[in-house]
Amino acid sequence: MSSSFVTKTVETRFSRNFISYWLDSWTIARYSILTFSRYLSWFLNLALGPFLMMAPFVFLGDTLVGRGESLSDGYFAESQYVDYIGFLAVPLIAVNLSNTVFSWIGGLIRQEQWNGTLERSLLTIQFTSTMYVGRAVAHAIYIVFLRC
Amino acid sequence: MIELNSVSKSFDRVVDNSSLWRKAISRPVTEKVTAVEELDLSIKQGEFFSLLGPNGAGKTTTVRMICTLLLPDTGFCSVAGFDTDKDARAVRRNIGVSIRGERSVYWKLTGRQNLEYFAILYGIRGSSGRDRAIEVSRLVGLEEQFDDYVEHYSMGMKQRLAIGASLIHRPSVLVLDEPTIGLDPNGARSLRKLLRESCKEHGVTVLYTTHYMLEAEELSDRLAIIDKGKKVIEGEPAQIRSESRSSNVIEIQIAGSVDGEKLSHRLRDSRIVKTVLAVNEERAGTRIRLESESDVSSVTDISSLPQFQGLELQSIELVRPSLEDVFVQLTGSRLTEGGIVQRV
Repeated sequence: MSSSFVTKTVETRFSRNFISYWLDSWTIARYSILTFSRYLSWFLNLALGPFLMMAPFVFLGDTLVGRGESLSDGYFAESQYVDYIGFLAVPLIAVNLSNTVFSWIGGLIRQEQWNGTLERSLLTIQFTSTMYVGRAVAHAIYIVFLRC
Repeated sequence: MIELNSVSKSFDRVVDNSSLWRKAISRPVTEKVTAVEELDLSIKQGEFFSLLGPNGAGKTTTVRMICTLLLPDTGFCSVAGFDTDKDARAVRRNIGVSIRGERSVYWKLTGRQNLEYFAILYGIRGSSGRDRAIEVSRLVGLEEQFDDYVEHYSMGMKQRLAIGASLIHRPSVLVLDEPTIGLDPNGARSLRKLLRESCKEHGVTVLYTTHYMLEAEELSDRLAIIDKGKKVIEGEPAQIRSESRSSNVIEIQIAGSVDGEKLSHRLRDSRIVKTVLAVNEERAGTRIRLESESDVSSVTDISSLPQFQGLELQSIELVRPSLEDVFVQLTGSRLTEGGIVQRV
C-alpha cells in the first residue's frame, strides 16, 4: 500500500467525518431551534429583557445628567459621548446577550437531564460534543435572530 | 445476545450528619452501597427476558451498565458480542433503550420530528430517515397523531413513541426500563400487546424490567428475580413456579371489611401458617393468600383456625402459586403498588 493512498484515505475519512460532524451538529441545532420556537415566554423574556434592564439607567441618566441641561456638557467632557442612552444601550444589550448564551450553554446537560432526554441522546452513536456544539449554535442563532 | 459475568457496581452514599459549617470545609463522609453484586445473566437472541424486583433492587443500574451509561466495577458485560466497556459505540448501534419512558422524548416537538431527529442521530439521514420514521409510527400505532405535538399525547402514547424512538435504528436488542409505570390498565395492556406483537415478530431480543409480576409472567420467555443487587432465581415463569416451595398456597375470601394487617399478624402466630403471602382488601371483602406447612392435610385445617372465628369465610381453596408468591418466598418481602418493599 503506497503512502499516498494511505494519506488520501485518511484525508477522505477525516473530511467525511468532519463534514458529518458538522452536519450532525447542525441537525441538533435545527431541532433545538424548533423546540425553542415553541416557548413563547422565552421569546418575550429575551426580547424585552435588555430594555427592562436599561430602564433604571435611563431614568438615572435623565434625572442626573438631564437632557440639554448644563450637566450634559460635563458628561461630554468626561466621556466624549454625546448620546448617553446610546452609550448605555450597546454594552447592556451585548452583556445581556452573551450572559444568556453562556448560561444556556453552561446548563445544556442539566437541561437535557431535567427534560429526561439526556440518556437517550447519550445513547445514540453521536459524539457527545456534537450535542454541545449543536445546542450552542442553536442558542447563538436564536439570540442573534431575536436581536436583529 | 446479552451476557453479564459476575458484574458488580457500587456507589458512594453521603452519610455525613455533621454541621453545615463542618460539611462546607471538610470532605463528605461516604459509605459504599452495593447496587449490583456478582450478577450473572445470559439472554439469548430473540428472547423476551424480564428482570423483576422491587425499587432499589438494582434493575436500573443493571440496565445502565448493559447500555453503556455506567461501567461495572468488576465483571464483564457484553451486548451482541461487543464489550460494553471497549466497544461502547458498537453496542449503542445494536441496542435500543427506553429508560425514562415518556420523559425521554421531546414534548415540544411532534411525533414525526422526534422520530426523524433520533433517526438522524443514529446516522439515518434524508428520505430513508423520513421513511423509517413513518414505518415506526405505524409499528407503534401512532400514524394518526404523528404530526401532533407530543405534549398533547396521552401517557400511553408517549410511552409508545419512546419505544418507537428506541426502535428507529432497527436494533437487535431492546432494553425497556419499567415502561408501564404510571399507565392506566388499558394503556399498559395495549403497550404489552405492542411489545408482544412487534418485538416477538421481528425477533428483537428484549430485556424488560418491571416490578409487576403479572406483566413479567405474561410477556417473558424467561425471567430473573433480583433483590438487593443479587439474583435470587432465574428461569421460565412456569419452571420458577413449579420449583418454588410454595406448593401449599391457600386463598381465603372473607366477607365484609377486616383489618387485614391485624389478621395477618395473628395468622403468623399460628403453627400451620408458614407465611402470609398477600392481604388484599377489596370492595367485596378481604382476600388472603397464605402458605401453609406441608403437613396440613386439607384446607379445613386452615378454616378451623381460631384466628378466623367470628369471620364469614366465603371461600377457601388450594391455588397454584403465582410468581408473586414465589417472590415473597424467596425474598421474604412483598411488593406493594409502586414497587415498594414490605417485609413479611
